[in-house]
Amino acid sequence: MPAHEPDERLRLNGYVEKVTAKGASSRDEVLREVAAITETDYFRTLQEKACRLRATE
Amino acid sequence: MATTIAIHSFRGGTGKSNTTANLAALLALGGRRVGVIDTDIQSPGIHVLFGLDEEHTSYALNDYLWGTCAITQAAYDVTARLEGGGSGQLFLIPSSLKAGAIARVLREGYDVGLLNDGFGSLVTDLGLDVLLIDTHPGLNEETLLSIAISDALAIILRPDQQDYQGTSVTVEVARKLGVPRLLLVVNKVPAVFDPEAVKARVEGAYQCAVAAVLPQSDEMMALASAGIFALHYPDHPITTALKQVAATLVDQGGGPLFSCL
Repeated sequence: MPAHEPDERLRLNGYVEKVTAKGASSRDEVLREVAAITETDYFRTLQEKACRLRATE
Repeated sequence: MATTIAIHSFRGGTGKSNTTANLAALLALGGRRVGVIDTDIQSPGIHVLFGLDEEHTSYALNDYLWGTCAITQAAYDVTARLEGGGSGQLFLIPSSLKAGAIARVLREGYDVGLLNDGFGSLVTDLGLDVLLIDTHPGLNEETLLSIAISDALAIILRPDQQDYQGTSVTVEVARKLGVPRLLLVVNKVPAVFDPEAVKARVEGAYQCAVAAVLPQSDEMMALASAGIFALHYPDHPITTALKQVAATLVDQGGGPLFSCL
C-alpha cells in the first residue's frame, strides 16, 4: 500500500463513501427490485425448498 | 456432509470465475475432494483456468441438461493441474464452448430442476467434500436456485458504482432465502485505495462481512487466466487472503448467519 498525502486519502475515502452511500439514496429502488424477485411463485417455491433443506441438515 | 458454495456477482468482469478457480484449488490442496461446476452456460470460461479445452471434453453440463449424459460423465478430474500439491482431488464440470450449444441454451433454456438434481448427484457420486458453483452474473432462475440450495454464498464485487445496487439486491435476496453463510469479497481494488477503509464502508453499507479486499494485481493481469494464480504465486498476499476466504466458506463451526454483521 503506497503512502498517501492526507488530502489524497481523504479524497479516496470520500470516493469510497460516495460509492457505498449510493445504497442509501437508492434503497427504495433496491427494495422494489427485491420485491419483483421475491414476490414470484418461483421464489416462494425456492424459499420452501431451502427451508426444508436447512431443516434436514 | 458436503458443503455447497455459490460464488456469485451481479455483474460480469468482477473476477468471479478466477476467484472460484483459486478457491477450488486451495481447498483441494488442503486435502478436500472438490467439485467446480460452471453454470455460467451463456458465457462459460472457468475451464480456461484449468487448461481444459474442447478437444479433451466429450461432454459438458449442457449435455447433462439435455439428457444425453449423466452429470458425472461431464466431470473431469483436473487434480493434475495442482502440480502434485496436496492430497485432495479436484473435478471440473464445464459448460460447452460450442457456439451451437450456447445458442441452444439461449434459445430453449433448460430445466432448472435438473440442475438441482445434478448438484446432488455430483456430491454423492464423486464423494465431494465441497461443491463450488460458478454462477452466471445477475439474478435468474438458475442463480436463485444455486443461492437457495447453498450452504454459503460469496458475492464478488468491485468498488464500482455499477456493482453496488445489484449487490444490494443479491444480498437482500440471499437473506430472504436463508443462506446460512453470506460474505462479500471486494475485488480489483485500486492500489491507491485504503483496503481497511473499503472494508469498513462496504460492511457498513451491506451489513455483511467482507471476507477479503483483493487489490488489482499486475501479476494476475499478466497471468491472463493461463493458470491458477494461487499455484503460480503461493506466497502472494492475494493467495493468503484467498486461503482465508476458503477457510471461512467451509468452516463448519460458524453457525447460521455468523458472517452477517
